[in-house]
Amino acid sequence: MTTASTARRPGGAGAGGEERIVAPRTRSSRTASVLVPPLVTAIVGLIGWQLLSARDGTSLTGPVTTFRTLLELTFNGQLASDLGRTLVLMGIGFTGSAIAGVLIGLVLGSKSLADRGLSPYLVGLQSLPSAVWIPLAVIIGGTNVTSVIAVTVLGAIPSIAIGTRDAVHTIPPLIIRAAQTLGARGRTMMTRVVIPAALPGIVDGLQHGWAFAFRSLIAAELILGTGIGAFLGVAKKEDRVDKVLSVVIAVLIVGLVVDRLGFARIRRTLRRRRGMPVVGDLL
Amino acid sequence: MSAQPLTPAALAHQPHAGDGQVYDDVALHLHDVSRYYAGTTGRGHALDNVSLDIACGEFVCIVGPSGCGKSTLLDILAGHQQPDGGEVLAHGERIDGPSRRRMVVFQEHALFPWLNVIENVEFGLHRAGHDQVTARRIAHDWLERVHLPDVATARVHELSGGMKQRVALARALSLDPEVLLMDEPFAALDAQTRDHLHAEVQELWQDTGKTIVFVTHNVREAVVLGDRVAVMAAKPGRMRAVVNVPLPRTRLLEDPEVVALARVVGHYLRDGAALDGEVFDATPRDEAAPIETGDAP
Repeated sequence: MTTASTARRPGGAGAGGEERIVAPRTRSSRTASVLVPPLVTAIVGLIGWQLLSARDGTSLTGPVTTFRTLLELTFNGQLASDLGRTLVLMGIGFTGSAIAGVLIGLVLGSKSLADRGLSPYLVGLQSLPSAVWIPLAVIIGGTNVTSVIAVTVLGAIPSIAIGTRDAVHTIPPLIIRAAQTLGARGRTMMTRVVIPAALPGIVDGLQHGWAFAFRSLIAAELILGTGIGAFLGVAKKEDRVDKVLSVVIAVLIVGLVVDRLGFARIRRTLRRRRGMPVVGDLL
Repeated sequence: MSAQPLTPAALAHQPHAGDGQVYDDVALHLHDVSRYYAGTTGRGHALDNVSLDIACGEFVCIVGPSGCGKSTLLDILAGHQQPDGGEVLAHGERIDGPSRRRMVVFQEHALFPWLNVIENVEFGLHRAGHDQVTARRIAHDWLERVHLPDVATARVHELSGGMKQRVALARALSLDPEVLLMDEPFAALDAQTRDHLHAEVQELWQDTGKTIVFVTHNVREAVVLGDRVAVMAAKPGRMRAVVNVPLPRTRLLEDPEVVALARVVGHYLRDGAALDGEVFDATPRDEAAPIETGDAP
């Protein structure tokens, strides 16, 4: 921030020709450097895919056929309605796990007894593939959306809770002491200091949680045959590789859009406003 | 050179620390304060029977080598730590936790990065029950008094180190505390910024009449700012001497009187073992500066 503004300032009185020793990168050249490498990768990938699908005896459909099917399915509404149903379940499941996970994380972050008692198990659960909950959910709840949502919520809670807990733990003690001196106690301490201070870390946890929730949901839908899972079930019966691949692409796009345009943006804005380094962001 | 008009006359020429005397206008009273820490070699003394009385409106600096417990002492005064032994009173009442009446300015600015500058100043005012309009007015006034009227909506990370500490000062003083506790607040600043802030803190102190306890490891800074300089020693942390600073204000780091008296304080710091419990007769000029020793062991 400081260096950037110093560099842009005209070199002071009488500096003359020594201004702008480092030429600032123009916006278009920066955009190009961000966009060109992934585009190259995409082109190479598509060529490879085309070559693989052109082999004799393979059932793999090529990129042209697949994208034609994807467009067809998008416009005739089949994919949209199934994907839409999946996204609604995702919205419900993720909201549930976000609320529960953040609340659990705040408790773990501020009560060391609860932290010692629960966090080891949550870390363990984090590495448990959430698909193992599916049979349990079906036995207890039956084959219905409630079971799907339950699996989604269970899959995302551990990482959101742990992320929130870590975010609270890494608040500089000085911030808490300053807030105490300024008169923050109890609830105000939580809502006005702990939560805002931990917010970038909480958002990181939610971002991970979203990925976990999405995977859990897709797994549950595949097994239980709802939403996108139902669509895939039909495609499998019909032996339609192009349909299956279309779903893969559609799910990938949805995941990318939410992650890059949603979480990454919130994360970047939060960090920029606080002068924190923004690392690992691609778009 | 006459005694400072702002130095309470009752304290200027009397022994203070740990002499068992009680003053009417004592802001902070430390008596036989001890604090232990658990180290690798067992329990150690962070503070060993430290006593010090600080008068209302007095500016006291605490100097000492690292590990002498000067920051621990400030923490105890702030209410962030409890002493393991001894008595700590603020205006006659036991200190049992942080309070708005005793504001702290830390070495690191400790401003809230999720709020902008004026929201940082308003934070404490809101907690103190002021409505938004009043809080904003008071915050604006204080930003002006610390010469930062134009950065109200800036983000904290956009400010220089000196500006951050000015905001921290405004945030602390806006709550009109009785005592201002400063923990090496200018240690991380460049020399020029520090000079400015030395002058500003002296002005603010003279304008507001706050009691200020200022911890530093810089002897000259202590002599520039303090009515008295409390010299501490390490292992165990203890009060070695209390030196009066009868110099006119506003003082500067390079004033010859400041340099001379800093040399005296420096002697206490370095050769303290030989001087422990003795009265050191410092004569910065032709007039003898009254200097008292601290708590005799």
